[in-house]
Amino acid sequence: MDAQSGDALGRPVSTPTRPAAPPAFHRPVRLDWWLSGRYHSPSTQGTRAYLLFMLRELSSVVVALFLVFYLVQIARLSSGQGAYDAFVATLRSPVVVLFHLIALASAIYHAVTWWQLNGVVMVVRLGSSTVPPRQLVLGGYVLWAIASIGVCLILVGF
Amino acid sequence: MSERTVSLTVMRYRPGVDAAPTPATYTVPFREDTRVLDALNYIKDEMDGTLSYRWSCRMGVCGSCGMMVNGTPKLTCSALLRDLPSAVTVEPLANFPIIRDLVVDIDDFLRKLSAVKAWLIPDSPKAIAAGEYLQTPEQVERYHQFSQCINCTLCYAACPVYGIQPQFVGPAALALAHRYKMDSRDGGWSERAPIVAGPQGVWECEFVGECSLVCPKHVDPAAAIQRTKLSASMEWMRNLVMPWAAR
Amino acid sequence: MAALLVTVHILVNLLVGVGLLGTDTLSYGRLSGLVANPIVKLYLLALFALPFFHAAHRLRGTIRDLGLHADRVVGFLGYGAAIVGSIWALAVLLGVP
Repeated sequence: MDAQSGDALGRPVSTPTRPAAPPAFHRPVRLDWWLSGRYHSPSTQGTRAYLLFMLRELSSVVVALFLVFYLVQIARLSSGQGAYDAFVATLRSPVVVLFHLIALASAIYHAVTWWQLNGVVMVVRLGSSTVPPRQLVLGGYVLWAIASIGVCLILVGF
Repeated sequence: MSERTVSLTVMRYRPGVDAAPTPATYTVPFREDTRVLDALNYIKDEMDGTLSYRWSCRMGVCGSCGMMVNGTPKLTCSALLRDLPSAVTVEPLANFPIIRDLVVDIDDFLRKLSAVKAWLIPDSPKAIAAGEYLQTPEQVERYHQFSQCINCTLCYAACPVYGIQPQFVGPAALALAHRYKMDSRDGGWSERAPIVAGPQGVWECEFVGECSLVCPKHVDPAAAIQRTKLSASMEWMRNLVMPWAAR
Repeated sequence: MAALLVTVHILVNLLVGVGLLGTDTLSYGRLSGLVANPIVKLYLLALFALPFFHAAHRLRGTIRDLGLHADRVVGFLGYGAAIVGSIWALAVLLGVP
């Protein structure tokens, strides 16, 4: 099928139309994209970057699971001393200790990555200058430590 | 001067001929200052003239030569071979359809640039005869970092959310929307908000952070997006509590 | 956010569990006294509710990232669980005298 167009003197000229381009190749998305190690981060995380991201996301779910346990623990306060003490006694069982170790690791990982990311992102101005990102990250850790110690003192009761 | 060589494995793909991209390996000599782009040019000049790839300025300002170098999105004009292992793999930029060899289709990104209206929408338009829009150095500083984007789309290649969900507006477009929001001359936020704070905008970002790590101009799109999330939330709350103040 | 302060609560539970802190640290009398305080109740409500929603959101995102196309169902269940969990927390805290 030719397109008709005239030349400078108006004489008919046939211009062949270009054939349609073949469709571009879409690389399939692999479901294990976060494990496959194909992506190599420029950071020290390298091929583990996406996996560490997934673990970071799941750490919030692990923390929530601990909170369900903790909610039951607090709820037992309404059930009398016997029921409460029986629940607290389970803290000593190896399974519960293991659960707490995993939950603690998740909570620490969550907090550390939280400050590493959000410390860099926040804009804190002092007068006309902005606080450098590294200081914000350190400041975040300090804030976390102070708040944690505060809660700890109230909870443990010194 | 002893000649070092690198084994460069390049993904080749001829549309309409090949079923899928396949690797081809070339042994390329290099010196202290050879970049991956120079190696590609060597292959094209000396070994296989059919190799197709994009490049232009060869100095890291045009954004044309983005490719995956050993799995990392990089500008090949800036990637020195002496910093890489003796075997290097070069693939087309991830998360984009491949047109041919190392050339990808970035039309999706270009459409998103239009969708977020990545241009100045003056708050108080002035006629040209009225003179320039004036800004203090402090006002420029507030958006300058985000204006350095060269549209190289390395950030889209690094973003797993964009990889899974191509409807996501993506790091560079959202960073540019933020750039204009922070520009004292601009008044276009209400026009950009439905896309930027909409279903495929900033809220789809999961703050993986890789976009900012691969950005060759240190734009930090991740920071731009999180700050947009914060300002959009505050604006939402303000409109909720004080609807009369809505702009 | 609130998820950052949960670390301490896990730690105290753990230390009691392995015996580095005596069980009277979490004794019925002490904890009842603490939780009776309305400010503590408010703190605990935030401590439970905020991470519940945070986790529901992250879980939905993770399911989406795994390409399972179940994120709407998981979202519904997750946010639903977060709402139920928060109401439960409120009921518990109001129920402790």
